[in-house]
Amino acid sequence: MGFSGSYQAKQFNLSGLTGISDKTLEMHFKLYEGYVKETNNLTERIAAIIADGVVDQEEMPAYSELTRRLGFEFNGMVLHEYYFGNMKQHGSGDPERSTAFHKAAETSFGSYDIWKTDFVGIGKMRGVGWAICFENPANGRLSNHWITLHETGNVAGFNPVLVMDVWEHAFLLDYKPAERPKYIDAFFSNIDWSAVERRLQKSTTATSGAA
Amino acid sequence: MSKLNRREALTTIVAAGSGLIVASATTAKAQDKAAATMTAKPAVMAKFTQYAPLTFTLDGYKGLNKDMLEEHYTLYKGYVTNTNKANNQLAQMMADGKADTPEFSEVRRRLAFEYDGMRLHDYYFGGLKPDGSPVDEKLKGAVTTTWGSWEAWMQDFTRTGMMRGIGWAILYQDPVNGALQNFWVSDHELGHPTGFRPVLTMDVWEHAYIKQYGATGRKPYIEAFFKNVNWAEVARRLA
Repeated sequence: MGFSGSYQAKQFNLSGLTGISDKTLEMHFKLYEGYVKETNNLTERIAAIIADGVVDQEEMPAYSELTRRLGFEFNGMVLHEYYFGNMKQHGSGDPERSTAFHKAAETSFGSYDIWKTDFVGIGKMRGVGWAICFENPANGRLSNHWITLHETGNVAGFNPVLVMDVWEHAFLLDYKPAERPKYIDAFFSNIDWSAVERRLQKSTTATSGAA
Repeated sequence: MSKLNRREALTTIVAAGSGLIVASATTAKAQDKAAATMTAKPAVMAKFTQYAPLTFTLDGYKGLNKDMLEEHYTLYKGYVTNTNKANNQLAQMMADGKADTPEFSEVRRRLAFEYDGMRLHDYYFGGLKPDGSPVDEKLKGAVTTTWGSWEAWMQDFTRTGMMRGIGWAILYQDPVNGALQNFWVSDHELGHPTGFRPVLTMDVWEHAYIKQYGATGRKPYIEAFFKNVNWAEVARRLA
């Protein structure tokens, strides 16, 4: 059918991370591709229903379910892109003090360490989901959030700058279910802070003058 | 409001038995003061049930290996521990007059997650047996009446288990009229029909299959699951 708005799975070269095995990554990429596929699938099926300009009574249940699942599949796709995109081989652990992120964390939390305590704490919360550091585009403030599954808790219009997957698939091949803290440590050692830096919008401009 | 609280407090003390009556005069006085706020302390500490993990056979299944099941069982014990912990915290916070705090609300909010995480795993492991057991005729009859055939029900249940997201496929029985229906439950706590009886519960969280079948291996896991269902036990759950 060749739907014009279809998404393509991106490629990430992450082999050789610390504490996150290539096997986990390969499985994780495959899973991510599933979200891309399902996002396209939902979009195409919704497009087919609305093409004639009517959602009739018979179409309503299918239309509703497909639409209801959009948040799950879209976020499943997009969050994985942010996640893979904020890791790299030989990551630096913590950001340099001179970075805009470090400064934004200080401004928003008092110190980078307190920001990190919060982010890591969220990552350890029970349940399946994500820890996300968002930037408020209005004032450049950072805030950390817990997202249940992929779609519950995302802040409308906020800019995700650091995204950590804490679904079981992110670590169960490398760690036991109770060892999530070890996985979080591993995640931190692989963070690509320059990628995080590039995602900042307001904070970069707000702090560059003071730098 | 404060009168009512005081009366409730006194009733609780009397009900708690003679051992506490001496203390009741002073407690009641303190209660007058406390009742003026929302954080009245109960006269006695609530005693919520403490649960112990059940034991299950974890070896000898077809297509569900021992390592994975042992890890799954450890996870299950975590839910039991956390259920007990949550109950203790609630009782303690109430006793300390901290029931109007965010930490109390959080524990209360998460209670169903932990309870269901415990109980659904009880049903799950309890419904399995190495190599399974023959399909129960009563269950087969009930299922056939509803779905037309055993296979049609299996297909519907499998489809439910294949739904995207993490959670459970559960065959539920309506206690009012005995009717059967398959339900999808997100996480552990979202989507249970109130008061229905769980008959067959199938875990489709990633931890149930990922070690052996990978993140995209839910289908072969479900096939393996069905080879090990203890249908005799499952049928006993029917009203």
